[in-house]
Amino acid sequence: MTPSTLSSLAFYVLQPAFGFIVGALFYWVFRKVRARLQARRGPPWYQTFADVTKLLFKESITPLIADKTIFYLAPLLAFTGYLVALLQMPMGNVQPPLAGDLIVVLIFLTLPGVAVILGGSGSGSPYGAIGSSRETALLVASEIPFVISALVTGIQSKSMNILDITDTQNQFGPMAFHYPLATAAFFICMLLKLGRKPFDIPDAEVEIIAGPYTEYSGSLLGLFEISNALRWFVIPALAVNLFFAGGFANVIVFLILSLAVVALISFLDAQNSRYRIDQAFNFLLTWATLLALIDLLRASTGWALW
Amino acid sequence: MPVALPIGPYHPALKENTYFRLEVEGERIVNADLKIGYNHRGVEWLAARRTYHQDIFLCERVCGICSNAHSTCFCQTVEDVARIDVPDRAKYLRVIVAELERLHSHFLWFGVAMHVIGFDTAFMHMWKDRETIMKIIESITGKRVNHGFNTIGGTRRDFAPSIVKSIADGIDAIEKAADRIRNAVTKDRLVKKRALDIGYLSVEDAKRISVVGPTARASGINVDIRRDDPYAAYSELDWNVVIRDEGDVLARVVVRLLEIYESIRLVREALKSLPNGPISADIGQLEFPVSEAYGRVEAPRGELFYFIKSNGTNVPERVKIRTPSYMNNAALTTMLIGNSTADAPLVIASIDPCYSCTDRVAIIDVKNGETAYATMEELSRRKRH
Repeated sequence: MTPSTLSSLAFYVLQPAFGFIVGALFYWVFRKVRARLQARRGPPWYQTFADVTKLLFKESITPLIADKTIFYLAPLLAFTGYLVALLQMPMGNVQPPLAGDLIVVLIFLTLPGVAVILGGSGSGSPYGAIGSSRETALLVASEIPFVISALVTGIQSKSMNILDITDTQNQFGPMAFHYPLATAAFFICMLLKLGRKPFDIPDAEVEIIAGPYTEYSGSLLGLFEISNALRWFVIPALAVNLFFAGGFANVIVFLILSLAVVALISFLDAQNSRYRIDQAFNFLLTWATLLALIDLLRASTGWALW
Repeated sequence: MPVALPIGPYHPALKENTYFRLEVEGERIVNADLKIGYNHRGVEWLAARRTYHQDIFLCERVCGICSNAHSTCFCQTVEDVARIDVPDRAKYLRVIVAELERLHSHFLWFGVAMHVIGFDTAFMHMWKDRETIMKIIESITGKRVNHGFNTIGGTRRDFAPSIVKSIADGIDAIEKAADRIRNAVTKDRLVKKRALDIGYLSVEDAKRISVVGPTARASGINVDIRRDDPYAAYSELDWNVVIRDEGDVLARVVVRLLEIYESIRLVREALKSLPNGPISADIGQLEFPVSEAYGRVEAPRGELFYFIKSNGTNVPERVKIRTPSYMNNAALTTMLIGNSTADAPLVIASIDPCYSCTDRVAIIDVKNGETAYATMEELSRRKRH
């Protein structure tokens, strides 16, 4: 074994661990900021770790009418999706060996959505079934603006490698400055990918309890919680890489910018109420897609570019 | 093929236990059914076994939100039976507490409605503002929920002139909070989008089901017991009844919003023209003639009705309670059909339902169709089997 393979092996272990810890802390920041905006105190910093630890040691109950294979597969799929996306993610000047194909990241980020659809419909609960159908509609509607706005950065950089995209921004300036409309569309989809308001429709508690997660308990729910912590790192990190020059080749700046993205999301979440599913569908397919398309046009033709 | 979607008996959208069975096709509700009876406590049966003075406290516990409306209605009906005249100051004090109760009830409802559409920030802040009202109520009556304020012939407590200033300051703070609610409700595009044109109840349906209170007033029915059958000091004060014709959830929101301003106005007027004098009639040894009477009060949710039959002893022979939610709940099945499941919690919340005061237990023999009402003892016997 050469030293380089050893160090890359270490990366495969260290990067997910780092992503989980930072993601759990980002999730706590979100909950704390939201709580303060709502005149509440909010949880302590170790809340996510405590939740995950507790859930992993508890018994998982599988409903009798659930499809066992799908029910067990869903949390694993969600975890895999975020894990692979995380391994592709450069962090400032820290560049993991697998970094970073944008296409692979985008594909694997749809996997958790698919997992939630599978898990909800496989659980045999009417709440899960309705949650799954809502998740399907949102996935269909959100993928278009999400992918288009991400592609804008790729077209500008003439490469689908995240490293090239951040390099281009180091010379050209952050994409958020040149393509504000695509950035806005990406942020709208990011709220959805993080399951935040106004798009937390698949697990709207007052309507369908926890939606697809209703029947999950114990370690299977714990796996969903771990995936959730990973996603709170992966998605803000992707936003920083694509639109804020990946932290200008500095891992500290990268983390600070990710934190700023998390703070912005917390603020948007606290200021919004929940869309009804048809309203969300219309909003995503008209406004978010329109914003992304205008910038796609600007990126591919060079029209009105500054 | 419709799928049955249960809401309840325990569900995050419902603060009390009840059961809605929605038949849905995709997201659309094609049929709805309501089952109550999870919270039955046999209050009417108990009331006929306690003295009038004990019943004041029992009736106050029928509902946790409109507790004062229940004790006011009970006391007024008993005063009618025993032909007691209530002093003027007590009448004004009853108006002040009743309107403060309406304020806190409406604030509570706004919070729940915002929570139901997912606007948790507004929910938390409205409940924070509601604390101001609770503090005023506590300073007047000594308690937050079950006030123990009314008694037969007047009120049990008076407040010192020294706290009038702090009450007036509190009312100003509440008015500012009401302005914030108005901004949140009327200016937020998303809130309007969720509440407009859903849960529609036409005037004809509203009359057929005999809905009461804000639910009726939002469907264009001009009814308010405070004006139509004045009690306490309402006929001496200057205020308006709020009516809207639209009949959807947004109309019910607006009716309650404007009622908050009317209640603030009523409290201010009553404080200004509060007469001096005793707070309770000198009733001495109470004598109850063999008689019967009914009383009506406009509770925060609508018309509250009490019927009391006296047999000459100090224990009523019959106490019949009809609560506003009992009438309004019946309208829910009509309102829900045709809406989306996402709107169901908001439609249910829009009538401000309250189940503990509503529950009745009727045992129906399926073989011969006979209906019987169970007593508390019989129920607990059945429970043990």
